[in-house]
Amino acid sequence: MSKTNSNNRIIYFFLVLFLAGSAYLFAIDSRYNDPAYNSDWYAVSFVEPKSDRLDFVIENFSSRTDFHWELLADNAESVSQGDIEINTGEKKELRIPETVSDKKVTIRVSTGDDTREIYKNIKN
Amino acid sequence: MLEAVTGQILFYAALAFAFFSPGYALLSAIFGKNKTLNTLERFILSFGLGIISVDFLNFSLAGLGLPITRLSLFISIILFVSACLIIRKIRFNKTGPESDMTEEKLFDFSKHQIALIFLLLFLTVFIKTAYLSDTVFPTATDMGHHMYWTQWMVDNHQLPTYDGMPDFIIGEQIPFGTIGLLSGASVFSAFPVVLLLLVNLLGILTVFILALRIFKQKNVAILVLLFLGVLYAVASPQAKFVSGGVVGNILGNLLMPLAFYFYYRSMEFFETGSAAKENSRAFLALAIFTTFGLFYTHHLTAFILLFIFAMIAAVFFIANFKDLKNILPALSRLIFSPQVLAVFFAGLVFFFFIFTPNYIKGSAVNTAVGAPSKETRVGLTMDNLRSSVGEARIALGFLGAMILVAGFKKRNFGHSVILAWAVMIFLMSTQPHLLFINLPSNRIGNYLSYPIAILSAYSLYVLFGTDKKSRAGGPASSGKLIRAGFIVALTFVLVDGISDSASAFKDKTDLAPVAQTFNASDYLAQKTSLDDMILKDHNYITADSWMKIFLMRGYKYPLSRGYFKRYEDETKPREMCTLQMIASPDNAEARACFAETGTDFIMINPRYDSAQFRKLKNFDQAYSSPGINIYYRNN
Repeated sequence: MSKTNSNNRIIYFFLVLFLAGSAYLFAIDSRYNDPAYNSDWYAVSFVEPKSDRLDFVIENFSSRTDFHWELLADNAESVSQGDIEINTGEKKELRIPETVSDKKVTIRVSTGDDTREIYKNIKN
Repeated sequence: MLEAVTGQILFYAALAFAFFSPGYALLSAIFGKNKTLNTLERFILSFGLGIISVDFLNFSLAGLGLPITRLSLFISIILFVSACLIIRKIRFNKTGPESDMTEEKLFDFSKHQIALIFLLLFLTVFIKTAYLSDTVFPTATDMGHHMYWTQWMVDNHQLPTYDGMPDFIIGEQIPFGTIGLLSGASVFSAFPVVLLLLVNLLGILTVFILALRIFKQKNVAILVLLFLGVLYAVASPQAKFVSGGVVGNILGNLLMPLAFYFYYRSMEFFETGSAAKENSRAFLALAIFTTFGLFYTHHLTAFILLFIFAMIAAVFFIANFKDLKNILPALSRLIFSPQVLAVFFAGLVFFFFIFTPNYIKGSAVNTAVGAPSKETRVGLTMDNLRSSVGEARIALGFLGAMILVAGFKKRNFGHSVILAWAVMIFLMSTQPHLLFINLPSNRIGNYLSYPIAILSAYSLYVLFGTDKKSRAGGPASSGKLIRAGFIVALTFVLVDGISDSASAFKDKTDLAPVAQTFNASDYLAQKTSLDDMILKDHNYITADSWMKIFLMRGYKYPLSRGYFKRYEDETKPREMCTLQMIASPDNAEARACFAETGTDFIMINPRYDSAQFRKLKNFDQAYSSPGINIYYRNN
């Protein structure tokens, strides 16, 4: 085998290996956003964390799509509630028109057995 | 899909354009098409030289006050490559291509050797890629820190300032920033890991050609691929450092062997007893260029290189003590040549007047020298070394060192390089007090695997090589005995080396915690401003160091509760606010901390840290996911 030929073959072989390996790594690099590898969780958050407004957002990364929400007053009494469908990978904002005079107001969201809460301590 | 494919093509094009083409053009300008460098060597050397060339192009753009953008980088690289090609045309049209027939055989691999090289390369890439497929995601703390500055460079079109911190070195960010700017690749993609993987692989190939040149035995070089590429392919400082974003070490393990390669080639004429050639001066100039590149890239590797260099000089001069009267004048003529002095002084001008690394201005040098100040700096034990380098490799490496000493070729500068490389790192990592080194011993020990791999390859070759020459240091044995011994030794080595990699593979990574951290970080980026101060926890939140890239409000933003042991380290007292504000947010010290720092958002893992906030009326819970709660301090 000629020297040039054999050395070129080593270079080409190395490049092919590197390209194949790195292409595979690029193909999987965003798996953490893929529901197949990152399932069964959702997030609840206030739209305006610094104000007294109670509008909130549910972001769904779980396989379930049926969510139930409740607005709870300081004494755990339900002020309002509702159901909402959110597809996997989507988020929805819910507007809460009620003016609540209680000191602590909690938003409780549930799907299946999984429940999440966020709350605000209202100042006025 | 099309966007992803286009992005990848742009990434590969940027790699070839930014790193391979300047390096290749530089070698062409210096050597033309002559046989001093083989095609394979040109390919391998181009990459490291390209990285350093692009470093200096970035310094030049910054020095001229020009913004570092895709266009300015593109034009400067084109100008550099064009200048090199014009120089090559002018120089070699006059003199005609040189030919050095003595080099012809060294890279002439047989079919069996080619097959073995293919197999070893395949296994090297396969094992590393398989490991990285579980760790390629943006989670590693160090990588997050580096990628913050990369993103800063991309966003601000200038070299990072590091907010005055001496721990970062510009050469660690420029390759990523350059590729980020040229290709538009996101730091959250696989590109940082893939770039480090390429650096790691080419570092191994650099050692391959270094061993081939020094020992002039193809089988020694092939065995280097086995010991450095295939065996312990995952352990530090290999694929684990790639996925962990230990950028300085990975780049250092490319540039240090590259510098040794050029130093060795510049001194090669001692072996034949001839005078230094034109090429020797060119190689020494390239060695100095690479050394400056290393000083701009990683201070620890550069620091180690200085110590190794001192030992190389000592070994070489002692070995050739009787012939110093001939060697010193030859060395003097080599060093005090126009090419070498020009590169040396140009490097000094850049280093002290155009772009001075932060660690020179800071106290990094002072803190690296002195008596070991911590238990982690007093030296590694043999057990530590065995687990760091690998049992089989260290056994064969020690044997290789003894064989090398027994058959030491004093005129072969490469023998001095390999011996000094191994012995000095061994001493620095096990007996730091003897050399007044005050650095974490395990960080130095991580460098030992490279020279030990070469020595392991050499010992295996000498002990079991089929030609009589290779067994010069060993006992006379029958062919069968040699074959049996070889099989036993190889089995021991393979089992130890491969099992080490196998144990490092993780179960399928749960990626939900990463996604939750990024989702919460994105929420904070949208809902807060520079008037807000965020505190997050580093102990229980996955990929938290990447949060700062969502926010891009300074390297030290958000505040971070570090590892608990750091608050107890008596040798390095630190602020306690970040600890108090999460652990006891209502006590007097924490309240004072909140007032002092203006912290109003806290991000923690609810499994460990939610109870203390839930009972306080001055904290609202603004965000909730299984792995992250965000609290807002409402007064």
